[in-house]
Amino acid sequence: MSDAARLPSLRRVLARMHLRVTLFAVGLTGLTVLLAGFAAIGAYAGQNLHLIGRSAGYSAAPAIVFDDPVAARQSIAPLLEAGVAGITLLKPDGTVLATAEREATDKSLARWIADRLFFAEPVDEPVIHLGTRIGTVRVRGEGSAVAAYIRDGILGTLVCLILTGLAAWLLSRRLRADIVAPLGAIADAAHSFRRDETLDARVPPASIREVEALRTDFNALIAELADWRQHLRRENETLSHKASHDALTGLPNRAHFERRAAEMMTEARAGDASFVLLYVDGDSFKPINDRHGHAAGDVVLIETAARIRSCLRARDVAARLGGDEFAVLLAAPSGADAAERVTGEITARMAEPIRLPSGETVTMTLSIGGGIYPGDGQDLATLINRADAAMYAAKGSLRARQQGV
Amino acid sequence: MTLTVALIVMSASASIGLSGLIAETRVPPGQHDAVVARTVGGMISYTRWPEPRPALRICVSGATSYTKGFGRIGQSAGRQVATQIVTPGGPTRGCDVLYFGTMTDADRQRMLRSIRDQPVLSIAEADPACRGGTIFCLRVLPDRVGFQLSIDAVSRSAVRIDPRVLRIALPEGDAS
Repeated sequence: MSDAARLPSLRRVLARMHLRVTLFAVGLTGLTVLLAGFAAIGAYAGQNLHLIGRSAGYSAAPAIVFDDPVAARQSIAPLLEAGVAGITLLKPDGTVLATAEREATDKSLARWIADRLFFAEPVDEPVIHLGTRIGTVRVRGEGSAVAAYIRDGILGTLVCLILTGLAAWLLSRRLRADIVAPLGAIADAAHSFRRDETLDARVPPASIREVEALRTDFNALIAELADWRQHLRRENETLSHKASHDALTGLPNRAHFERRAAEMMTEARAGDASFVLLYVDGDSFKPINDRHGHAAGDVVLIETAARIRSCLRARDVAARLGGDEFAVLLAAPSGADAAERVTGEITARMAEPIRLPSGETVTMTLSIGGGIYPGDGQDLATLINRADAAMYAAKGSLRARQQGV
Repeated sequence: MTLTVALIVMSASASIGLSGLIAETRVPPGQHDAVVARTVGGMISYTRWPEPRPALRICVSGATSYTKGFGRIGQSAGRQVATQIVTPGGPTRGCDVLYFGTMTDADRQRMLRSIRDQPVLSIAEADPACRGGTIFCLRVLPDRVGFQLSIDAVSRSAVRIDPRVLRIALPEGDAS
């Protein structure tokens, strides 16, 4: 988990990549344009100096002929334009006739670089009059125009870079909505599924094909997982039912009965109520089993269980303890009269003959003894013993009656 | 720079009013003859005659002080030049350049009338105010040689003067 937290997010990675690619592209383009423009401007600046030199030579030729420094200066002064630092008129012997100079206003580093790159050497143009060279114009250039271009170019590139950064940021926001948000929703759904086991957290649709495919598969997987889990739960319920119920009659088994009896006793104790525990034992089961076989015995047991159950309310419990031994809990509040009534009902229902698969009919009689909490016992063992004893007493009186008959 | 241009335009218009433009050349001591010759040669080199003239004839008239170097004018004029003397007020036929020394006003006027509308370049050696009617007027000072240009005279002549010479010529007030 801590390792995952230290990793960069998808959005961050995408944004960084975007930024790098765009910055590289803009930087490269800007540099190329800047250098190309730089070279072109430098070439034009050089040509411009030659042109200015020829122009100065033409207009200053009479001044050289008449050897007039003042007129010479006035001829060349108008040609001192931006990009020209100075014009000098030289006589054939190399002496200076006139000089015109412009004071540099731009003292920036860019200007210094442009001067060194393009205008390190002055440009010489001959002055021709009547076919002979009567002098030389020497023009010195200056790089303020080129420097302005360098400054503007760098500024423009910077502005472009800032705009590009902004665009990359907006793009990454867009990506966040298109990719990162759906992926985040999937991750959240997976997380909540793992933590809360809630299966209804479905991921909303995405706008990118791959992400949408992932979402669909993820939702399908979640649905399959939900089905599987439900199946598992049903299986578990069946298993636990099997563990706590008698396979033949479907009634709760002894373990389940004892658990319910203990629960009921706790509730009754808390509520200061009473409840009844009945012990039921088959009187004529063994002879039926011996005469008609085990299959018939099973049918008799199933029918007996159903008839006992049919005499009880929903909250009451009927359990098969083993063989032809059953037990009943009459949920609180219940007392002696309830015990009597239920015993009577069960006996009456059992008086009806049971039809066997073979077509014969048999009659199953039951001996029933009861114990009432809290009068007959304060704990489960005592209560069961009392009920057991009462049941055997009933069985004994029945036998005495039968023998007496 | 703008100021300079304005100054030149202003000086040009002002000089028309004065009917004269001045240019000048510094002179090393004792070399006035050579400088005058070179200046005259320069004037010739910036003058255009209606028909091309491979060889020019300079007619010198009146009393002159700085014509000793005229033999070498050809160098600065860029073509062959022949010099001849003409009596003041005399005929000017065959002259391409008329160089006036000191003479009477009447003689000069007569000679100028005879070359009116003719392809003849007129130069005055001693007319500082340049009101005598010649195209160029030399101004010979101890340390320099200058010249003025009369626009009126140019308009009365058939020769054409290169406008650059008009540009380099200064108005009188600025000549220093």
